[in-house]
Amino acid sequence: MKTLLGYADRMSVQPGETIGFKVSSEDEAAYTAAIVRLIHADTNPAGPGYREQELPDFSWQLPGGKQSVHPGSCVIVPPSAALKPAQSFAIDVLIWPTLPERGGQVIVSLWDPSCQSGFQLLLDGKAGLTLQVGAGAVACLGRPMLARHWYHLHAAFDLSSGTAILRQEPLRRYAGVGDRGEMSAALGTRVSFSSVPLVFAARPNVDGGYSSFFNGKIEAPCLSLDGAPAAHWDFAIGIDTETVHDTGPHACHGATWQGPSRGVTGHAWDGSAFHWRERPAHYGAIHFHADDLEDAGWATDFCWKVPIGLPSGLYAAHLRSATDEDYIPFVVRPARAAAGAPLVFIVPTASYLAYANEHLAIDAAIAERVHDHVPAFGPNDLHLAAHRELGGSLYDVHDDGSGIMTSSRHRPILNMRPKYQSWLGGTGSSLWQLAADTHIIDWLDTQGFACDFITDEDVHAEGASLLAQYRCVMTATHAEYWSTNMLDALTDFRESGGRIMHMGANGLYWRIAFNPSRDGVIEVRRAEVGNGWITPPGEGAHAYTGEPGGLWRRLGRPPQSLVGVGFVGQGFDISSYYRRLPDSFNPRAAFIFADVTDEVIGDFGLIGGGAAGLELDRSDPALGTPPDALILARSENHTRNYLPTVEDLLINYAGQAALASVYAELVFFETASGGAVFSTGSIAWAGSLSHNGYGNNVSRITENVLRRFLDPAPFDTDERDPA
Amino acid sequence: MTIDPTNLAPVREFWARPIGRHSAELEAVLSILRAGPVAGKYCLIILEPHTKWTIGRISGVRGIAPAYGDAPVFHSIEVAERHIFRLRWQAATGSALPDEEALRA
Repeated sequence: MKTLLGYADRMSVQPGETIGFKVSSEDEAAYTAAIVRLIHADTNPAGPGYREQELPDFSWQLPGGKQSVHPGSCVIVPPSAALKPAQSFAIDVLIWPTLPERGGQVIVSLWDPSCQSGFQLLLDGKAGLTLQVGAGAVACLGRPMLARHWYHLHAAFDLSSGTAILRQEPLRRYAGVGDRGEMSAALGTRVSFSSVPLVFAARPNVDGGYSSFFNGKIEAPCLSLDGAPAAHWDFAIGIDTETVHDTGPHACHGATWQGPSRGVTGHAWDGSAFHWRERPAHYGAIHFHADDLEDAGWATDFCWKVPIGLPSGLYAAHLRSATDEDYIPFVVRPARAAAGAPLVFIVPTASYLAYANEHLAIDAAIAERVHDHVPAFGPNDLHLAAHRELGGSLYDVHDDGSGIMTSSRHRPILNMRPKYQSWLGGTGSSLWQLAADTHIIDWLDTQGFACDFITDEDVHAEGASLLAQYRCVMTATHAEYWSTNMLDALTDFRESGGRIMHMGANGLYWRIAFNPSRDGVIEVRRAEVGNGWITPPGEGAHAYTGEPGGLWRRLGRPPQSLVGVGFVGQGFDISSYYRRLPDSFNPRAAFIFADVTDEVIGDFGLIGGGAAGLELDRSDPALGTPPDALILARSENHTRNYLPTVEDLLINYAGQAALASVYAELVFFETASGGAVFSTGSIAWAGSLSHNGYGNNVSRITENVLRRFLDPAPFDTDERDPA
Repeated sequence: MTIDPTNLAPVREFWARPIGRHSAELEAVLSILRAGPVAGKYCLIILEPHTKWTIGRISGVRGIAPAYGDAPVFHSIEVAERHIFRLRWQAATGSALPDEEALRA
C-alpha cells in the first residue's frame, strides 16, 4: 500500500541550483530522505540487478504530513464591485454538458461559502438547471439535458420582488425530447452579496479551494446587473494564455484554474474552419473537467542545493518511512559553463509526462488483447486506480469520456519510478520509459562512457545551442513526444555534423506543445490518428501554441527523414531477434560489426527475451530514409501479436496482419555534413545490453558505434552512386 | 464465433506456451475468452516483483482499484495465466477443463 508520494519542483537542475521536494506521507508517518544516483532501475533477477548509489552527506529526517490533491478546473474572476447586483441580475450563457445527469455542477457562481450568500447557477441531477440564491432559496427547472448538445441558458433574479426566472433552450431540437423549459419562482428577498470572486464551472470553498465542478463546455457568459450589461466574457480571446477576457464595460478579466481545455469548438463551429486562429468566433468555448489537474500545489518539504562538481546523471530523492518507500526522480544536468562530456543522453521527460499515471489497462477492456497476456498491476498501479485525483496520462480519458490533452509534472507520477514494472513493458523485466531507459544508463556506466544528461525540457528551452556542444546525442528507448523546438534542435544538430544514436523506437512521433505560461506542462492534439482517444473534429490545433497537432509524419517531418527509421508496428508479448543483411558487410559498416561474427543479433534480453520487441521502426525511403542508408539487419519471426500501426492502414482485409511489414531495422547512414546516424529500430534493444555480463553482440555493436561516433574524425561524405 | 468445448488442441497449445507464439486457432479461442467488459476482468496483482503474483478482478468503476485476496498465490506468471484460462473456459463453455496432466499431454 502506498503511503509516500511526492514530486519535485523541477525535472532538471544543475550544480549550484536548488531543487525542492513536495511529499505527502499519507499516514502522517515520519520519513527519511536521501539523494541517490539511479543506475539500473530494473529488479529482474535475470539481469544485473537493481543498482543505485546513495550520496553521502545528504539525508533528512522529516516529520511527515499528508498533502491532498484537489483536481477540477474553473475560471476565476477576482472580486469586483462592478459585478455585485443591487436590484437584479441576469445571466445568459451557452453550455454543452458532458455529464448532465450528475448533480452539483456549478456553471457560474458569485458565492460566499462562509456565510452562504450570493448565487450559484448549476446543473443538479434530476433537478436540472437550478438557481440558488442565498442559503436556502432554490429554483429548479427540472428539465433534462442531452449530453454533448448546446443549450442557451437564461437565469435572472430580482432582489426587490424575490422572483427568479430560469430558461433552458436547446440549440438543436429533436422530436419527442423534452429538454426545453422556462419557469419563474418566488424565492424571497433576503439576499446579500459579499465581495467574492465570480467563478465559472465551480464554486469557492471555505478553505480557499473550489468544488462542485462542471463537466463540459461553457461559452459566452454575459452578466447584466440592474438591467444593464455588466460583463461579457469572450473565451475566444487569449486562447493560448491563462487569461479570460471580459469585453464588457468594466473589463473584469479572469484566469483559468487547473488548465481547462481551450481552443475547442463552440456552438457556432460548422466545419468551415479547423483552427481557432482562423475563425475565433467558432472557438469561443472552454471545456472544463472535474478531474483536470495542472498543479497539485503541495508545500515543499525539503530542498537540496546540488553541489558543485556533482556528475551529471539521473538522480532521485529516496523517501523511506516505516511502511513505504518512494523515489522522486530528476536529472542533474552539467553546469552551463562547464565543459561536458562529448556524449549527451536526452532523458525523454516529455514522453514520461505523456504516459504519466496512465490507466489504460484499468479502464480499457481491450488492453489484454493488445498485449496477448493478462496485465499485471503492482502497488503503484493499485494506488493510481483508487486515486484518480492524481490525474491521468495523455492516453486516458476524463470522467466525461473526453481525451486528456495535457499532462503536468506538478503532481506525483507513480509510473515514473525506478523498480516500477509496467504492463506496457511486455514480458520479462516489464519496463516502460524511465526504468527501461536505465538499461542504457547502466550500460554507459559499466562500460565507462562519460555522458551528460539533459531533459526534453532543456532541449525545448535552449534548442540547438544546447546540443551543439556535444559530438554525439543518444536518445532513449521510447522518445516519442517532441515539441517543434526539440525537433528543430535535433535536426540542426544532425545538419551541423552531429552524430545521433537513436537507441529506441517509435521516437519523434507525436508533436507536443509546452505550456508557455507554466513549466513542465505539455499538450497533445491527437489529430487524424488517435491512441486511447482521438481529437474531436475542428480541435486539431494546440491551444498552447496554435501549431497543428498530430503525428510528425502527417505534419511533414517523418522520423524516417531525420533518423532513417519510423514506427511501423508493435506487439507486447515476446521479443525477437535481428538477422544481418548484406549491407552489414558493406565496408562503410565494418566499424559497426568489428568483432561481431554472428548472423543473428540480439536473440536474448530482459525485455521479452530479445532485442527486437515492443514497438518497432524500420526504414522507408518514401518517408525520407536517405537513399544511401545501410539497412544492416532486420528482425524476424515476430509473433502474430505484432500488428501494423493504424496510420499505415488504408483499408482492412483478411490476413492483413500476416502480410504487413512489421519488423525492426538496424540502420546507419552518414550525413552530408560529416555526421552520422545509427538507429536500432526497437524499444527492446536496450534490454539486451547487459546479457552475459555485457559480453554480447548487441552490446558490442552499440559500443562499436559509440566509439566511432565519439571520434572527431568526420565521416566519409564522398559522393557515391545511390544504393 | 463460439468455442468447441470438445476440441482441446488449442488448450494444449496454450498450456505449452501461455505467452508468445500462438496459432490462429488458439488466437480465436483467446479472443473469445478475453472479450467482455472491463468490469470483472481478471488481472494479475504483483505481490513481489518477479516472484509472486495473485489474481484480481478489475472493478470497471473509476476510483475503485482491482479487488484481490481470495485467489491462490502463484510463483510463475505462466501458471497464473493457465489458471485464468481455466476459469474463463469453464465460464464460456460450461465445461471444466481436464486436470493439468491431461493438458500437458
